[in-house]
Amino acid sequence: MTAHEMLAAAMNGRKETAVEEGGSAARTGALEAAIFDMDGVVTRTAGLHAEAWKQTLDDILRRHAPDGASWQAFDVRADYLAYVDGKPRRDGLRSFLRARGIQLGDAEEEAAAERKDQAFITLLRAQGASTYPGTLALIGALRRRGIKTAVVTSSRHGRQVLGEAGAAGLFDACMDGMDLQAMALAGKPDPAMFLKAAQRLGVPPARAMVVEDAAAGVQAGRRGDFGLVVGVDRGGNADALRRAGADLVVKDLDELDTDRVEAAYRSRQREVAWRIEQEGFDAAREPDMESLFAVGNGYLGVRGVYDIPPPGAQCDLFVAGIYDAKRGDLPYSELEFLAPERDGDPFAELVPLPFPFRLQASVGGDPLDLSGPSGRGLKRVLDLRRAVLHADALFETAGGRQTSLRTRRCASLADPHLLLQEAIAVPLNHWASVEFDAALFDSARFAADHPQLRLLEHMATPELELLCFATRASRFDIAIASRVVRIPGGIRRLLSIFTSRDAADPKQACLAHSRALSGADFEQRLDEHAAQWDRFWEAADIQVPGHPAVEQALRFGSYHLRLPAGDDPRVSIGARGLSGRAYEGHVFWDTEIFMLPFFLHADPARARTLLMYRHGTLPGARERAAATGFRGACFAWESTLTGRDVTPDKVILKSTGKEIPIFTGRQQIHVTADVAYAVWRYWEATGDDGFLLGPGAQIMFETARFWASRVERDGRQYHIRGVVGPDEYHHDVNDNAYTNWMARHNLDRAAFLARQSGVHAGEADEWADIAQAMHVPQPGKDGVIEQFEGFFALDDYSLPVAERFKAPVNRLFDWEQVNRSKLLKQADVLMLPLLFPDAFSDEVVVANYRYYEPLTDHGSSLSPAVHAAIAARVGMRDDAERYWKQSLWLDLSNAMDNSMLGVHLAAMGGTWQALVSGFLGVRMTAQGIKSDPRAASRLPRDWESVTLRMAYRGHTHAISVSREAAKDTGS
Amino acid sequence: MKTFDTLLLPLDGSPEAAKGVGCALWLAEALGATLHVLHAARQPLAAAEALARLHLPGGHARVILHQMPGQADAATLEAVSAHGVDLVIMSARGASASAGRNLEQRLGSIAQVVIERSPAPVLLLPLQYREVLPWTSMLAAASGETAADEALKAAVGLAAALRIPLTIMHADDAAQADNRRPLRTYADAAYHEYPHRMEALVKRGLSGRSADESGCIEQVLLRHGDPADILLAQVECQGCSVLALGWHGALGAGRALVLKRLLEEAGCALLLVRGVERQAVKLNVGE
Repeated sequence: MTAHEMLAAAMNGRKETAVEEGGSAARTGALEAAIFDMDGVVTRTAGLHAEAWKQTLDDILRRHAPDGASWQAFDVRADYLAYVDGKPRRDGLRSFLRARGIQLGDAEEEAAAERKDQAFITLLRAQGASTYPGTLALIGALRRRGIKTAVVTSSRHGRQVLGEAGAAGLFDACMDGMDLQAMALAGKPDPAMFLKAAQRLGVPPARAMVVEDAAAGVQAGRRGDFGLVVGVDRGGNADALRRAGADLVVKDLDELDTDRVEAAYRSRQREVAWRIEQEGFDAAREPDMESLFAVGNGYLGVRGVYDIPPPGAQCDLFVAGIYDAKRGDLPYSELEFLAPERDGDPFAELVPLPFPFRLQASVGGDPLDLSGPSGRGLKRVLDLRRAVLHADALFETAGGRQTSLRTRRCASLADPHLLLQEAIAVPLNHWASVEFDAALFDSARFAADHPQLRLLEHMATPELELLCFATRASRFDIAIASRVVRIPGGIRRLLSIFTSRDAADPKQACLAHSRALSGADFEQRLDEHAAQWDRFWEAADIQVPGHPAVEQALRFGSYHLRLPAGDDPRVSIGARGLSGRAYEGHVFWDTEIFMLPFFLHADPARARTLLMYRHGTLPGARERAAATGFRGACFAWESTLTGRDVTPDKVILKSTGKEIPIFTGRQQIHVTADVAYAVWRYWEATGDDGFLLGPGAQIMFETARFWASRVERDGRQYHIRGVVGPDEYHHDVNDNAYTNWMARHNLDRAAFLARQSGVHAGEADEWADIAQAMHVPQPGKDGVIEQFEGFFALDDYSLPVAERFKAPVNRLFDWEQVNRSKLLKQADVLMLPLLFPDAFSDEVVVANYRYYEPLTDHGSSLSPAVHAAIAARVGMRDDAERYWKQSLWLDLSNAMDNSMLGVHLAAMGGTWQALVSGFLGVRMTAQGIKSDPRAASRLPRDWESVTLRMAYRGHTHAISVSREAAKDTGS
Repeated sequence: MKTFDTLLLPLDGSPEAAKGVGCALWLAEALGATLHVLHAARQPLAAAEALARLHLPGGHARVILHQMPGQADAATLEAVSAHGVDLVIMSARGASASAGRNLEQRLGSIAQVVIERSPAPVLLLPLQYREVLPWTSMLAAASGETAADEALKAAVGLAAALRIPLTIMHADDAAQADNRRPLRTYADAAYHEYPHRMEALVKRGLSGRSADESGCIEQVLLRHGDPADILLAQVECQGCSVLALGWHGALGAGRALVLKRLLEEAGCALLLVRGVERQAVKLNVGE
């Protein structure tokens, strides 16, 4: 069995256990098992082993010493800990000899390992094995609590030693080096042995702890995802154990009792739910990771590219609002897709700016490069609570020199112009110095990677580097200053960024900002940043006790929603925020319909900023309406700074010459009513009359004017023709239910507002009349609402199951056929009960869900969350949970296979909405904000409770839904 | 940057193996490279005799003849590391194929071992290979997999050194249920995602290549359908001299359907690059 199969087997074991024990013990998530390393934890044989190694290795060293030269003997402490401790014989032997530049043949190696074995047995027989009383006491206490125990060792003589020591009866399972060989399990730091032991105990790794005295063993515990890893430091090894990932390091297990163990286990569970952790490095997966590990503060966003960027990394810094003309040209070729250049719009594309965290490091002239020959491993940890990205990388350069490089970074939430970075190198087995180069600027790279930028100035002194450049078409100036401070073992860098959008003279502003910074404030600045995030989490955190993985994913979503949300009303949040290049930073209906509800209740001030952006683009929206022959304001389907639409109307495939028309820009006009809907929702949620009567009213009136001119009268009814609804697989449709419903709401609310404010009386009457007589498709006899005129008559399309959740690329190429078929890209009619929950009975909602859900291929990341919300509302729990989980882990599982281009913010907002309005059925009334009385019964199956806070009309309300409480009150 | 200074041509004296001679000599000339010719034989022959036996014309200054005892496959692999070989050139079938000990008649057993284990790229001349020298253009298949990135890197280096244009093609096969390929995704927006994906696809293969070298890329294409069909059609219509392909390196164990088709049907040389073993990345999330 390979290690991989072992892992799979262990995972299966985990499932079985969960099923068997579905009761309360599993639910409360208590510790169920403890797995102990033997040597150094239970028994005291390390000294015997070290002595046996010394006899063997010194002999080899002597024989390999160059003629007459002296040789350095094996050190029973330092060398034993660094190379041999905890590893299988052959691995230990090899790693020590490699460090001394000696390579043995297979047979020689085997013979040496055999000699060591013999030496050990001789020593064991002569001296016997003793045990640690503290360990035995803890094992006894754990067993009395019903916690299962196992012992695992790489030693081939494990059972023999335990027997000699009289400790064999203490364990439910025992595995030693012989098992390792018999089952072909990889040795530590591979977790295979621990996983196998957990499987034998019938306990999932997450509910077991590992106790180890060797760094390799601690690492194995960590890699196996064990619930708690305890390091026992028998002298001088504490740092290495911590670095390897021990949650707790003690000198002896007599420091621990069962209460302390369980407390540490629970605290670890809580911590895990605040971290996103990546282990290992794979150049092909890096682009995804760079999106997931992005940092930002509303003003700017930086992708999570490793500090020493591997070749091919997408090293992007984005500053909100820094757009430029679209550049199709690349230095090496023209690509397959010819997207027109949007008439040279100078604000067509969010500009990737030079990566501010770029570092180079080398040891003795050898560069440290994860993807190169020196890269040995990477671990990234995103601390969601403090919004700090940590990375711990291991490199090995010439002569087997191992160097660990620990870095951390953040984009300050306390000061939007400030980025902080720290890099500390730790030579693990050598004294060579590690050289850092923190230069920001490289002229060749700048020219090749930034066709939209023109260099204005570059200046560098040992302490300060200044880089000034400008966008070519939009003519924004940007200044970045980098202040580098040397610290023991590494550097700290404090970066300042200003643009001509926020300072009259960005260079001077940048220099002034940089001058005010000092290396000594680094920690304080970091704390100020973390304090701002604390405030955010106070309002935004959601707790689901017993489900750290769910809490973790919800926090990941809230974290990413917060990154691009700033204080500048001239910009809004693009589809992928500031985390990647897809959608070129364009703003869609995603923001108002999918993300805004999160901000309404977690951070209302930012919700207002987002709506002020739409207010600011009214002039562009007016021009757009006028250009197409209508009155009022028509918001852009894809919007950047001016409100001008930047959607191309076609794309050409070079290889076939095939033209793919894009209808969304001209026809997806529902966005205009979506913005008006968002204005109204904002006012309902905040009671912000100042906004509604000022900028809000302007938006409501101007959009109503657009609809009043856009509708077509046919007899007594008004129609809206030639549109694309949310389902983008159908164009040129008439009377799309969603569009007409939203337009009616827009007109109706505008009329109400005008009358209340005593303005535009004549227009208000017209708006009210049109709203009244608007043709809005109604539920038929079977309760189903026709998505648009003639939808029911379209061709049936049998959607293969495989395509249900993975729309193939040829959708795009078969657009004409798709347009004639009953095939939906995403929720369309089903959007209505999400946005207007009280307007539809459960029967109608069920009928529409049953009709449309099987026709939908979820070609948009917005779709699963809507389906989750609707299914949850009507109690279709399987569907609700499946769709919700799909949406919850959309980016973390790379479900769309395009997270490399940025995270899916609308799906994150949609996930939040599906939980709050779908599962919990939260409704806002004049009396306040309340969850649905049936919410407890709708919770996902294995949830006990969920708690969150929601801002509503100036107050914060605690929402708590719990199965227990529901039972108590008899509801 | 890795260049193509050292070439290796293993020969066994069979006329099939000698198919590689013309191409290897031309490449050595065009690249200014040293060509090591390897003859694995029990009894070394006198140099002139050996050259004649190997169908190798004499008088090339940059040709070094090695005669090594032992198994041809092991000797070839040993020579690759001993001489720091950058490219192995060999016919898909030598004497071992003629002897009938081959994989469905397409590939000699020696060639199979070499393409599966050589650390250096292998220029393999398949069954239907028709020699047209000098080369005029190169085609590289991009798939988003590490092996394909490596192949692209090798192709850019070689095309740039030979100053011939390179076409990069991504075949998106909608019928196959493999969902890890980069363009297999939601048809969200042709203009928002696919150009970036194509760009990323190319860029990964270009890592470490200079802007000058990358200048050899003439076009990047996307086609739909069976990858082998599409690649063969493009070779045919463009008259490509060589097709670069990354693959997983286990012909017997793995499927390698595309490679097997190409071995059978391609009329041009195949530049084969094996994927390096990938370290797994683990994200500690989910239930």
